[in-house]
Amino acid sequence: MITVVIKKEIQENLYSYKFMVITLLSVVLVLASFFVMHRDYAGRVEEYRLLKAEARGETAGTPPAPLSVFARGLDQTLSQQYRLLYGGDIIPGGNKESYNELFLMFPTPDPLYVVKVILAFCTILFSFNAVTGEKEAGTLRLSLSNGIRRADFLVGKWIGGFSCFILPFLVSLLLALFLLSFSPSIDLDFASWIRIGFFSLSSITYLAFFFSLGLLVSCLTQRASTALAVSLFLWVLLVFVAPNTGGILAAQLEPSPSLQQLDVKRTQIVFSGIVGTFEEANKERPEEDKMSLTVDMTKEKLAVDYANSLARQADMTRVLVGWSPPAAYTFLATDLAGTGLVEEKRFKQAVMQYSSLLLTLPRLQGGQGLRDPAPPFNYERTPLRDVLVSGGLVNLVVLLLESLLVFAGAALAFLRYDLR
Amino acid sequence: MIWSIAIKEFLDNILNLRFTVGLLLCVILVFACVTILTSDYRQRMASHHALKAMEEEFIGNYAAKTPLALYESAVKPPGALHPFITGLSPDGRNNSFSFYANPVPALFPTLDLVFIVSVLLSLLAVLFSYDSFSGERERGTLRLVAANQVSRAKILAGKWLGGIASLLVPFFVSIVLGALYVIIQPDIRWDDYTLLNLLLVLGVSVTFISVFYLLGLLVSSSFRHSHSSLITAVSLWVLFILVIPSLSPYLAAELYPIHAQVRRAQEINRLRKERDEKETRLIAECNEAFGRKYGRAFREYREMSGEERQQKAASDPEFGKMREAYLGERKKIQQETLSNMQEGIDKVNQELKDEAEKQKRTAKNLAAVSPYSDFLYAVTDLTETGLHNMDYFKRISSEYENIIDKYREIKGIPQRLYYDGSALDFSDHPRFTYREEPLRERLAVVLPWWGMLIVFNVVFFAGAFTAFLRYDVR
Repeated sequence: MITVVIKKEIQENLYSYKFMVITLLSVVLVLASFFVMHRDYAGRVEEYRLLKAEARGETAGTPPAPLSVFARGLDQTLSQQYRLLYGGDIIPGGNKESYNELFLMFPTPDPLYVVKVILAFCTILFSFNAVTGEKEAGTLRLSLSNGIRRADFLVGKWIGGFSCFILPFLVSLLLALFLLSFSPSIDLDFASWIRIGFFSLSSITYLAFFFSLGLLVSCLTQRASTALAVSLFLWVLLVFVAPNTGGILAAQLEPSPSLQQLDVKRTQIVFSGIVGTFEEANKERPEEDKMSLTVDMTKEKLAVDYANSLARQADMTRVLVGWSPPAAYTFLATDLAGTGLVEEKRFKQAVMQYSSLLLTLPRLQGGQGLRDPAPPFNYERTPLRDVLVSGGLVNLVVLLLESLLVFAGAALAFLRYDLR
Repeated sequence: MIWSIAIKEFLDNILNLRFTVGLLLCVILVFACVTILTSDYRQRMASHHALKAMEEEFIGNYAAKTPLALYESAVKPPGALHPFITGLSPDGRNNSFSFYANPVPALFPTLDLVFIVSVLLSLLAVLFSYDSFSGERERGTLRLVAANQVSRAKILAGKWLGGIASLLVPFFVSIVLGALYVIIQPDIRWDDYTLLNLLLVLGVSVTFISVFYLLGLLVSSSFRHSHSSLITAVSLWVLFILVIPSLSPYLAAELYPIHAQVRRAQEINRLRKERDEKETRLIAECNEAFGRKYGRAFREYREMSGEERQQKAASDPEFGKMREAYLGERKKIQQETLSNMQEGIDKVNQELKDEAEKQKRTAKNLAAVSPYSDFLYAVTDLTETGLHNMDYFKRISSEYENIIDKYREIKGIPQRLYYDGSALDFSDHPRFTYREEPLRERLAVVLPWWGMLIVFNVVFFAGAFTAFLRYDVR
């Protein structure tokens, strides 16, 4: 009986206007997103390579992550060349004047965004009237008067509806992957393909959650228009409100000084270093090496403390919003792509450790430049095993459990649903 | 007749569950945002006062000892409307480039009134209006209304007015509650100017909400079935709110890529190398010239250490004169080569800036095809938290730096790390005070975007009218 319901659901959807519009939207958006992010990645890799060749002095950086094509996340920060100045300051190597701030005004249209926001929205449109629509059309009581169990009916509806929705997405995803595999700018090894597999699995699970949510709301309401309003408002709450409130709440619970306060405090250390050393030595040009090292180490400690307070804030954000499927999906996708909070923290720690190492190396007289060439900065992105162990699997399990929970809720609600 | 239709539409909407859910969500979200952002405002204000206190301390303790302490940083306090709108840049700067920037906002941007209006209220507007005509046609009431000798234009106008009025109820209720919450805070002062800014923001918001209500009416009057009009209306909403603005900067980057970034690095390295080579050559020529003029004395000078040279110059006036002339000549060479290099670097930087400006302008104009972008530009520029304010802040910071440079010259403070300025009085040190850009100038920037929203209103209204004229009401 389930297969009959599945077949019926698939046939109904295939001939519907809704299916045509949503399929077109999702295919076009997924492919456009991959195209745009691939071009962006290729441009950034080329720029990184050329800027690295031209860099003078000590620098620390890592090339853009190939999987940032899927989830750009924090890759803009991660793939910059940072210049490590005499004095322990770490400044971006690129030029701020060349940056188009419109990129900051609008969300990045990467596949993560397309799935998290747009396809989740489309999934709701697919499922909100799964039950209420049939009730209004009068076919629900006809279907269930034929001796089919309610649970079977709902499962059939879920499988039929979701497969209609997910199939175009999978086809466009596979097509995008096929084209990416031929791209000369992206080198995907075996581990990358495993990550892509996890990304695809998490995307499907995430969309399954929203499909089940639409179905749940449909089983709790009597009219399709009511189901639509409630579903869409839940979408707004889950996709935008819950994750985006986390950051600012975390800042209230784990406050840290502003970036400007950090800069000013570091400047204060420099001033007291300059003044103290000149007055103590009572010379016009005292031994700058000794003055520098004390100042640099104090500034470094300040920077490390600040970075740690931001890391605590980021961890608090994960705790506050990690339960919500969009946030869990964002954390998982960005961690898999090597562009997430975990990677960012690890990278910054590596750069600061490198900066500390440079402070200990002997300098030329006058302090300008190292006496001998510094060892190069080496950084490898987090291995997949560590990504999964440090929270990736937890996020995937959260998505899976919440999808099952919501479906269970829908099944329970449907058992008591008034079909008339 | 228009008013009867408007009242009917208004009552239909507010008695609908959609309205109740929307009202609740709006009120709760606005209130929650305002509460959290008010707390954030306090934190930022405290940070601002701490910064000013630290910089006063610099001037008090260090200005007389190191010229670097004269350079108080330009800091911008959070705007009075920060509890409602955080915008792109609350402090006037682009901090995303800093190594120490907070990574969380890049993944999860802060919620504020801009989000609530642009996502929630626009979606509500579409949900209220998508079945205005198609739904009434399906229920059979549209032909009854049309049969009563009411012109279609009046039906459309009445539906629009009634619908907008019903949307403004949750909007204004939540704004008033939010504003009351902020006003009763003892440490936040709102003056008439702030209220005027808020009213202007509300005006832009109403225009924006109306765009999406009219979009819903347009789609509804183009389809016979409410289900089809729903799918089309929300798909268009997705395109306008979620797709077009995000894709625009990338499209602009394809049309006008910035090559100057890499060229700049290559050119700067070339200029530096050139300068080093030229300086070495000129100094060698200078050494030769001095060697010919002063002979052995100059050769001895070259072999001495710095301290020895100072000591001999103090005891031998001729040697002192030669040393001074030589150092003067070297300084001249260094300044000349540095100035030439700087000229080259400035030219390359300007090229880079021009390319970036072109791309930015293109991205902005492409994104303006979406009403959401126009709304975002207008509101962030009105509240001094947008792109225009970042440029304005850069300009006034730069003016302040010039004032400090002139002040240093007037006081006769040398270009050294450390000096004895105990005799100088720094009580007249210029302080940076952020002054808001005059409203007139901000409006000049905002009006084109607001105008675009009005144009969208007119176009969608005209489209809905044209579609409804041919609509089969049976």
